[in-house]
Amino acid sequence: MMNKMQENISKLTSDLQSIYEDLEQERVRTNLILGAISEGVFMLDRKFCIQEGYSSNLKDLLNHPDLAGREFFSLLENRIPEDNIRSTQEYLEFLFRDDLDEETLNELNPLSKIEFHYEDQSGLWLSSRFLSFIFKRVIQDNKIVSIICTVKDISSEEDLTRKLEESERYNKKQIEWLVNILHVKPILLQEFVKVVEDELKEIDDALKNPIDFGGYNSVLNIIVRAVHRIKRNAAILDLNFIKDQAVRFKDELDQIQKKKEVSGSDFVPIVVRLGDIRMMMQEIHTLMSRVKHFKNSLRTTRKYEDGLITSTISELIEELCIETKKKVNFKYEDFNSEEIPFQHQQIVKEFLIILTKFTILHSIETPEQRRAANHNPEATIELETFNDDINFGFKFRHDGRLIRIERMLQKVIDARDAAIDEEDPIDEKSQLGSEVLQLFFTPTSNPMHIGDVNDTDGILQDMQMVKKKLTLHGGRSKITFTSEEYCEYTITLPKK
Amino acid sequence: MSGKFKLMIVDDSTIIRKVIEKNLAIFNVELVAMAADGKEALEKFKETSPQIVTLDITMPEMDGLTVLEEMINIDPKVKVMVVTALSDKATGLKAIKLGAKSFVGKPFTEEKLKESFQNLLNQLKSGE
Amino acid sequence: MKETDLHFFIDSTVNYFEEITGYKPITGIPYLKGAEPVVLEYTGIIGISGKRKGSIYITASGEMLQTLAGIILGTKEVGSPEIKDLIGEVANTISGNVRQAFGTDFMISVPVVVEGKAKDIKTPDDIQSFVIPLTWQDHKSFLIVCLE
Repeated sequence: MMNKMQENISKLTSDLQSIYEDLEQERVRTNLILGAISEGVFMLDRKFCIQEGYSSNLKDLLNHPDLAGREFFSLLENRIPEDNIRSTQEYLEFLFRDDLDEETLNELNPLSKIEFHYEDQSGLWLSSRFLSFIFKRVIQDNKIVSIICTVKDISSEEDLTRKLEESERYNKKQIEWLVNILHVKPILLQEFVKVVEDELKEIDDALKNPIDFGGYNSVLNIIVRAVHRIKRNAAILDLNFIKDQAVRFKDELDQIQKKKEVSGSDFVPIVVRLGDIRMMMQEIHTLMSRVKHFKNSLRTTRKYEDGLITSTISELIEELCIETKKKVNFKYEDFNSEEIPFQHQQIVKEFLIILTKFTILHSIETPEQRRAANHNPEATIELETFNDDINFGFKFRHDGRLIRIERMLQKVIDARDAAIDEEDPIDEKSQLGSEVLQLFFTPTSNPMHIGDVNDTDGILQDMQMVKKKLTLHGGRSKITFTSEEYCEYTITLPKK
Repeated sequence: MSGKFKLMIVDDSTIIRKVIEKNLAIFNVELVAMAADGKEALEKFKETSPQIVTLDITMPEMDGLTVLEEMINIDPKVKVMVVTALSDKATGLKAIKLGAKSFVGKPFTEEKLKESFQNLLNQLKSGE
Repeated sequence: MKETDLHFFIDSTVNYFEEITGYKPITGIPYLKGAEPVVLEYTGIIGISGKRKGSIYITASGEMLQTLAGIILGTKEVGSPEIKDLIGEVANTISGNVRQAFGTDFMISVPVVVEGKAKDIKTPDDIQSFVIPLTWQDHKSFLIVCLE
């Protein structure tokens, strides 16, 4: 009896030993697997606590030395936003409910891709990684007993995806710009870049010395006009990406101008937008140097580029005539744009735009007025270039009779047909001439009340600026009146 | 307690140390030490055993939160008032979690500093 | 850098002066820093790391800092060490306060103080620097924000 019992005990012990050994081997194997895999693997019980037997990498991923028995959500605190912790809690609670479909729930996993923040011992931020948590139900006897989770560091994939997206965006933008740029003659593009840079410099100067430029509102006006000029020049060359940026800029400026009182911090969006334009210009420079080698073989020249200045003026005349219901015959057979030295192209264009605007708005009469005065109802604007060894010049002539200025000029004309040169020695005649020029170039002394006041002020301020530029270029301006027939502006610029 | 409470001021800015010293002089405290960085703070803390410490966070050598943790390890009863420009809630909560009893954001007014310090003194007096 | 980012710094600076002295500084028109130096007698620089990278600095005259230190300490006897220290503290507080907006992953360094009119303060070449002129009690100073 005793022997039988001993035998049974011995067998039982041996069986138990064998089971233990199997289990031990299983445990060692499991530990080996959990120690070797690069993912974090763990099981969550119904209280959302991490169970014994998790992969060693999990400690690194969750940045915690001892995870067994820890509540999962507490490990997420300060690592991910609170909102995400709350939704993870809901999601995992749902995962334990067997009336809900696991596949559907997986779509709602808030931790499928999450930025995980790491801190040092004292709670200071160290770094962050992108982690992906995938949860699966563990079912025994048709019951959900726990949840198994794998965690993977997807930072490099995420980083790569982001870089790819960024690079795609960047390339797309560059191609768009490149296509735009390739359509423009390099010389015009160069000129355009210079114009924008000049405008940006003017804005910078005004921002840095607001008092010298007449205070915040004046600075704002300077910026509005500079942005308008950038927009106009970009539109002429069909550089839409710059035009669009300028339009957005203009909208922001409009908002600021609507304010009753402008303060320094109102300029913050302007400066940020300026920064964007500066960066854009830098990229254009890079693109320009890239296309330098193959530009001519690739581009299709647009016809109008050869006569860009005259076509711009022609369009402007057309627009203004529609607006003012006036009629103008534009003659430019003697205007040869190829004679204009490169460095003066922009100033010539700007001067012509300003003069055209001013002439149509304030000097040329309506067809009815002209008819009543026994004149051709269609007025004439003529352009002409001239050249010698030292100077280049152009003439802008029109046969409009300015209602108010005409009276002032009459004094000069009565004296004799006169050539009034700003640089002449001061005598009565030239003083009157200077007064006339003042009318054009000084907004504050504007005696006219014709047309829209803001528009007139704008033109006069633009004129003042163009005149300043003309002086910088070493140029001179002259107005000549010959009887009542015409008024002629002569602009001379040194060739070198 | 009839004697004065021992105070230590830790801040890398001389001017802030002076401002705190000036404002807290009206209280029943004895300034036993001042320190300009985390390392110096811990050395002086061990030497002088202050009961109250005003502590900056952004400091050279050792940041204030590490110093705070060490101080609490050395003397769990010490009352630490964190005075910092790091005004985000997370930093404040972290400091409280680590054992700070009060949190004052820079820039502070004299009133705010004094009020917070008074509360800290009350805690010390009531033996919390 | 976004417009709101710049506003955080401006608000933080205005708040600092107002809180400490009761007088708000007047913010001038900000502009993009070019090649020209923007440096006055004392400059406090803070390096920014973490998720955003860059630096900010505030530069002011000795006279302004003397007045400011006088108000803070309640005395007219303010020496050069206090003035140097103060500009670092101003830079530290301004950048520390913006963490409320940028979050804890906006890491700030301890301040570095430059005394005397340096040629210029170096900021990263590839990041644009914004200059915010400030006038506090008739004293001019500049806040320069250079943030990725």
